[in-house]
Amino acid sequence: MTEQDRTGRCADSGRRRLMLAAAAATLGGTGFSLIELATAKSPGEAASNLVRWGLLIDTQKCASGCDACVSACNTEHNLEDTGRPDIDAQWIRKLELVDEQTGHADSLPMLCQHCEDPPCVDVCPTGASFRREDGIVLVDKHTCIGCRYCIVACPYKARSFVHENLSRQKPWSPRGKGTVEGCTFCTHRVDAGRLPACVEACHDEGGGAMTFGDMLDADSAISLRLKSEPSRQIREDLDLNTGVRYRNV
Amino acid sequence: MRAFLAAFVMTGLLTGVSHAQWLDIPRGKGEQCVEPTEIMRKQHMDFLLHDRDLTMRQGLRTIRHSLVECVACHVQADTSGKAIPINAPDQFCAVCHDAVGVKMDCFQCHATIPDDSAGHAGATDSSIPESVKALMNRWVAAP
Repeated sequence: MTEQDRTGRCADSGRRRLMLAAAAATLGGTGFSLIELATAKSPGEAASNLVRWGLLIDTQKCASGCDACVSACNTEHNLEDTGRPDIDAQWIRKLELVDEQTGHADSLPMLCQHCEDPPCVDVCPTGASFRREDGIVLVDKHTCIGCRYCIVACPYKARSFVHENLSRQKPWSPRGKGTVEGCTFCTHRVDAGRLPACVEACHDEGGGAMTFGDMLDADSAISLRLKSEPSRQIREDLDLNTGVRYRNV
Repeated sequence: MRAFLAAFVMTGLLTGVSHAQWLDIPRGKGEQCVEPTEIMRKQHMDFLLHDRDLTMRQGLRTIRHSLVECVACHVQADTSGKAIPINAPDQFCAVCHDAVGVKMDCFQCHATIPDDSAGHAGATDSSIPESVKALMNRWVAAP
């Protein structure tokens, strides 16, 4: 089914591209895509499959000691330190990849890859794990029963389980004991035309390694970069068509 | 006996008798709630249940029945100006729920006080498409 779906979706996106052509022209190829996001969806509009949110991470610009994205995520969603790292929620984490032969090390952030064919959604027995029309993979905690199949199924270890009662949650980020959670691409921000917290922090305090945008809009910064520069999906052998792509890894 | 008392209190609530006679329910900030008070008393749980799915599944952020907005409007401040959790005893949600013995689980996950820092889109956009308005009004009784 996937090939046909993808083709169909791309054909649909042609119309969107036409509609946005004028807007894109006025943007004049701005490197940063805040304005582009703002035109993507008004808060009163439902998420649409004419958009697919994606993130490109240039690992060459991702410094080994920098964790600006991780702390921004923890602050945005109030992922507090429980004092026991084993059970701390991790929506985004930094990895060091070392080539054992040469000793060359890469540093990169790992988070939910927002797959087009997400294994977490396949295995969820209640339908709580789902993929929003615009490609963002989420957990509906109203229906999550905490079985944790999705945690096992995810090849990226991108999901966390809340083990203890919480307080001080943020209004835009409800979290509770007994449910699974993971990166939401900051839907509350994206729906309001803003960038995810990690992307903003990487741009402001980090190395500017992240480019966020609509992968179906040919004129978006991320599409232009994906077209002109080589990039990879992690575990591309699984054919999940991830929404997070890496460069120089 | 408890059932009788619960029914007694509910009758008072549902028939719109002045709330001060029965329970001391803190008032919201504005003049008028998002729906008439009589409707909100009976149907707020339906509104929340329905509209949560619109936001969660479809990303609609301008829904009229938003738990975040309930909290923002009905939260009280203590003498030092600090917000009191809305589910604390004698606060807006707890007054009735404690009186009738109905347990809420909303606040196991949802924030009990507003957060003024930027991040939430808020229900301010007036340009809600008709199709969405129809969905939102699904639970509202015809006048």
